Amino acid sequence: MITLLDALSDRQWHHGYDLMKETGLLSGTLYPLLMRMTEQGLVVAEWREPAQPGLPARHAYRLTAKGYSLSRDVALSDRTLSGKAVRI
Amino acid sequence: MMLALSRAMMTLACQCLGKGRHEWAQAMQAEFDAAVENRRPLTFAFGCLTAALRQMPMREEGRFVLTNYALALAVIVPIAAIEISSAILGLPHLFGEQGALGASMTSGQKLLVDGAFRVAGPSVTLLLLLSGGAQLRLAWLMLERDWTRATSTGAAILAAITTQILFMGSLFLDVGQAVTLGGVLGIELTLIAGLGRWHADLNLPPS
Repeated sequence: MITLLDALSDRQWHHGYDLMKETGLLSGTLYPLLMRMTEQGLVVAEWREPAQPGLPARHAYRLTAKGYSLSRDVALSDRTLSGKAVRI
Repeated sequence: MMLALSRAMMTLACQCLGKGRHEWAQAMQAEFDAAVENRRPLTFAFGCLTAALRQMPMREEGRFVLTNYALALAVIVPIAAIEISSAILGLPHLFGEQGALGASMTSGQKLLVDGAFRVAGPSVTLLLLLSGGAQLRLAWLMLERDWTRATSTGAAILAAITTQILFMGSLFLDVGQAVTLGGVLGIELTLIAGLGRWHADLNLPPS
């Protein structure tokens, strides 16, 4: 989930397959995560028209304000932990 | 071949996701084209299928589908197989000299039972065969979620088993197996009625 939050933290729309390539997650892991995060109000999904005409519309995903806030908190705590690890 | 298998997996995944996750099924299907372009359709489809299967027990619709398939494939189809194989192998297998009943009889009793069996054999075999065939139809109707026809088929099987018990009993044949079968069928029909009510509560379309 942290990997996915990180990939979505730019608050841009991402397609499912692009997220798989970006995060290295397989579809069997990505989609259940996206479903759960959407239900928790962390991610919003929307049908987006394709860039090229004739292709089917694709589902795109973006962090909500709540999701973005969580991604920032996670990134911050990650940096804090990394800093502590370096000091140790 | 690989593409056809991947498409079949995607179709199965979309079916497993059901009505409640229809939009997610469409989203996966739309991304499948991107996976095909990247020449990784099988990995993508397999992932979607595992995701869909993992989601099933988490939703009531999925639990209903799993229960329905479990009852049809793990209970009703084996019972049908037992009935059909009993009919094909022949009733002497159950009631004759080698059977449980035959082993405990005196020669005089065996003579009487053999005579009764010769009279009853073909009719009872036909009833068993019809009942086994009807059980298979019942399993199919359950998977199609056609509860009205499933209930009427179940009632017909129950009538056939009752006839069998009465017929065999009147000829002093051992009705133990048939009574057990009738009892199992009664439990089956109760479960089917429960599944029908569960399906109605879910308000799902027939598959």
